[in-house]
Amino acid sequence: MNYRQNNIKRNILVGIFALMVLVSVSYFWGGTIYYGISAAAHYVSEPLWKAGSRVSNTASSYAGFLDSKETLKERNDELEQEIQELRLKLLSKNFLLQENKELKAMLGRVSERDVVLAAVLSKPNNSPYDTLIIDIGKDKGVKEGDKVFVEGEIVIGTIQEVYAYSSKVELYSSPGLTHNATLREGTIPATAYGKGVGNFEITLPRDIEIALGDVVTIPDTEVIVLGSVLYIGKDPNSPFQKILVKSPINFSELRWVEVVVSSFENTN
Amino acid sequence: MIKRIIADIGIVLSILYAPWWMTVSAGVFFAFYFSNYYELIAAGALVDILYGNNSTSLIHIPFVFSIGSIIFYFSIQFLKTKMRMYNS
Repeated sequence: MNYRQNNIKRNILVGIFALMVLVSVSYFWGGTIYYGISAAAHYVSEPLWKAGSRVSNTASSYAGFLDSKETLKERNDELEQEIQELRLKLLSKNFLLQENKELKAMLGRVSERDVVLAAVLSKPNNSPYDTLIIDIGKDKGVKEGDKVFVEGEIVIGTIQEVYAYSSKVELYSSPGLTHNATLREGTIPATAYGKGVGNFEITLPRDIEIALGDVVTIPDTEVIVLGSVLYIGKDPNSPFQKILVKSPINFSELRWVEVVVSSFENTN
Repeated sequence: MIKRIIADIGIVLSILYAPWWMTVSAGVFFAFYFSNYYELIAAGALVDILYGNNSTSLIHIPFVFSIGSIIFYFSIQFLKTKMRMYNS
């Protein structure tokens, strides 16, 4: 046999051995070893991610110099109009929110939560696993299972693993995850299946009326928004309709999140 | 040797800062360019260690990148034996 064939055989044997080791270690000590190695890797990577974020933010701030004056003016006008529309919506929303809180207080259901702001070190598109890496960990009292929000209302996931100075967030939209959700102000229960990067899929009987833009929420004492209906697919041959739901969060531009490090409910 | 070290640094930087598909593309390219590019397997393991999600993944099994990188590595090694440019 020549050298090349021996090399191939050796490589195949090494590969099979490596796979066997990987499977065995994963089965018996997977959790502990994985966490230890992961914590060490995060400890080393965390300052690199922060440095990368700083460079990216600096580059973004200088990128504006490349745009023409007319483009910037058009964009400015669009943003001002959008701000005005959002201000009006916010006024009515704040009123409803306050009314909701007062009603809950009358019924003795007041929930309070401690929130910590966290910077996003790594976005979901860096990872094939639909996870976020944030810059707070055990140092800020973060625990596994803590909910992660954006803008205080849009829940995007939960803390999956906590390290010394960083944490891994599993997004609600991770492929394979399912959630009990509701549509139409809680009147239509449904199961939302994660499809990755803020996208979900819901299957409902086709005779249930759903409209584009309907808000999908998770039942809780507070309103937790999962997303809104983006697409409704009805196959004439199927008794069901497929609904695609998209989170309003643009994950590729996400820079800050809020972690609820503790929450409790006062029931009087 | 210098080229390989630069490639390894590039792979690590792509894992930290670039989309995952870019890391895969770079890893496959370097595996064809260099001989016995074991770093591809290490890169796959690093992706799982940094970003891995035990409960979910693209195809509902854990350590997708570690397993995938091993499969990719040996597939590329096999392909190289069939390609004229590596056998001349």
